Amino acid sequence: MKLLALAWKDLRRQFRSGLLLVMMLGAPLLLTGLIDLAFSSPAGTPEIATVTLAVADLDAPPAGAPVAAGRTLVDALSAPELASLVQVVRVDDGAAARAMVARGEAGAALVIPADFTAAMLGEVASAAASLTTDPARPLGAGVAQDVIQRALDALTASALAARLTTQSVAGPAAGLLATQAAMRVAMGAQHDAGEGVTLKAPVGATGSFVTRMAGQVMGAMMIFFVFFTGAYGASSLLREQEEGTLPRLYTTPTGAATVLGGKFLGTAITLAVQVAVLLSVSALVFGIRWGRPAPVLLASVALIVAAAGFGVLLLAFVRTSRQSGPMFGVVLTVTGMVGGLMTATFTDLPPAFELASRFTPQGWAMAGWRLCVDGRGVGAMALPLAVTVGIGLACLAVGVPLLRRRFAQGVPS
Amino acid sequence: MSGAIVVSGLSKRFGDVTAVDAVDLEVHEGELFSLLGPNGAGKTTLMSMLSGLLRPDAGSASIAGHGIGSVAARAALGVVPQDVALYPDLSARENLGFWGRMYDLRGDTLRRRCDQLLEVVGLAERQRDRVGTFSGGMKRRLNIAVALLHEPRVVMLDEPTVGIDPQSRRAILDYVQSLNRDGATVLYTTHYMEEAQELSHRIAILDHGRVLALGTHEELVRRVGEHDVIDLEFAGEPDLNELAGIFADLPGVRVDGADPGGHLRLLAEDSDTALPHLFQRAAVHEAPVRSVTVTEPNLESVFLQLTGRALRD
Repeated sequence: MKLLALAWKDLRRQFRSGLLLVMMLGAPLLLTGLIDLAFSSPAGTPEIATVTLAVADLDAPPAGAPVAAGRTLVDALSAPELASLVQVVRVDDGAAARAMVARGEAGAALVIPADFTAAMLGEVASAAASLTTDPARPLGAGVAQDVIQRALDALTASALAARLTTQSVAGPAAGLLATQAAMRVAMGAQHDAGEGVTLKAPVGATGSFVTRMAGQVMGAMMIFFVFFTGAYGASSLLREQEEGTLPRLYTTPTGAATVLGGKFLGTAITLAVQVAVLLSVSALVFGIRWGRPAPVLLASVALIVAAAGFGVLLLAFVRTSRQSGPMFGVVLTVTGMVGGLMTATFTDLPPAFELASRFTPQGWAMAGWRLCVDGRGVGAMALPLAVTVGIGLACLAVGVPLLRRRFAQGVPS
Repeated sequence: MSGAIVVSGLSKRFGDVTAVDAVDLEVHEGELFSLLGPNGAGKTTLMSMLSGLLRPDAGSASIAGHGIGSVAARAALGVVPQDVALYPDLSARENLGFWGRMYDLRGDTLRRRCDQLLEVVGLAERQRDRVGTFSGGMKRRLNIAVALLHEPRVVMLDEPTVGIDPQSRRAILDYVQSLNRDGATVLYTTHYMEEAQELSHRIAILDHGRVLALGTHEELVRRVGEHDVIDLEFAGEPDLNELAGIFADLPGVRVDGADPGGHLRLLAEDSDTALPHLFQRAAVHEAPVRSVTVTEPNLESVFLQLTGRALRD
């Protein structure tokens, strides 16, 4: 009961601080809102410049193949519905496509491999279309990548699902036929004589790109500010020491472990409320899809543990509450930047930057949330989640004994 | 009477400084006991050890029969710290509610005690207001109320009237006395001699971490005798030995000493009677008096006698 009373007292104090509320909730939502606003018209329709996509279709369908998947993909990308986003320029080979990107004449280059149709029909194990983007134009590259990926996903997913399903009951030959049929249906095929196969534009492709980008920005901002809240929550121990309420607590029949535990619980609940509010509000206001419930929950827990633990560790090296502001500001900003929170939507970052982000708790937390936003499952997120929690627990293991020695020396447990 | 607070050989050092030096004292059940001493005398360090915040380097002590620092000792003790220790962003009632829970109070008992104490300290009308908006005196009163929530057997107040207005100070002193009348044992620290004199059954004079004297006000005053101290300052550079001889044969007056600054200290059985004679003799011998200070026997003079300096130095 005392533990809860201590935590509840801290919660009340923190949620009465206007400045803290702005830092916890206002700032991340505002920054995400600005990003969202920058890429959305007042009517809510995204306004993104058309990307020139150089396409080298090297696909050579096997003899007798009923469709040419490469041509289908190119036709789909050339569909009128996508004209405002992607302008396809056909070139003869991959080198020519990449050269256009290098000269700045195209924002991205797509090379469709020779065995593309064969792979779709299951005659070869796999085939990979390659996309080269212009690092100077990350937004255009992102749009192209999003549109192409969706078209590829539609092609491969429907073909694979049909083949597996049919093969299991009727054997390979029937499976091949079913695949071809499924591709036509799934791709919205209209097989009119002489017109070939056409592909409908992926519905909501542009909206989903902006939403996903907003999700990544919001995720990064959430992580950034949650770490600040963790540090601020931990530093309430220092403020109580200076206000004289911590020594007074130790004159009551309350053990040091209960006092410190109550403060940690208060911080953890504050962080949980912050994460829950940010996730909910951003989903409602910006339409961000955070992913499936279980991964979101686990990523939230990992983030809370890491932020609380990192805050406790930082506090162990701070002498006064006046010192804590600048110290937390510098450390959390630098680790946040190195962790990639300020460059969440950038593509083609140098590998060294990616490597450096792995040395910060924010980098691992961001890796988890990025997968979450991409709709990945718990299995795919296991490593970043485990490392994020591990860092948090390690920070606690180092920080708690230091704080105990400093703030509760000689006080019975 | 049994000892509500028993201190035996308690010592505490901070580096080279001995803050509390082998203190022995016993505060009886139901007693109002003051620790009187200047700033830095060791009063707060002694209180901190008794409340379990500081571990003594040597010696032992008990509160209501329980070793200091133990849960039982802390449960029997209400501590009013020297500085206000409240949450400014919580209301008066929220503060009392929180601290009550820390003293294991719950439900109706907690609500009843909060209501009672808000009335007693005159904050019932402001109970929903945040403490940060209170005046210094109001905070001090609430600071005391917090320590009384669980109706402790022993209450320790560490200079609770420092820096507040006379009205609040009076209210606090009255409340401390009523608390004691209701049966609580009170240990009160102060550097205000008047407070110790007015409140206490017994007083311990503390300086440099040591108890210099301990007893009732009357017992302590008797240590300096029952004479008024008259300090005469003369103009110019008088021969103090000669002046001492002039006053020596006055009835009821005794020369206590002289200092090079032109001061002569006399002890008089009755200063009102002695002063006209002193001025007359000084005039006859052409030794003009620049100033005169009369001090009736009190704790200040006891401290002066014990340490050679004033309590407020």
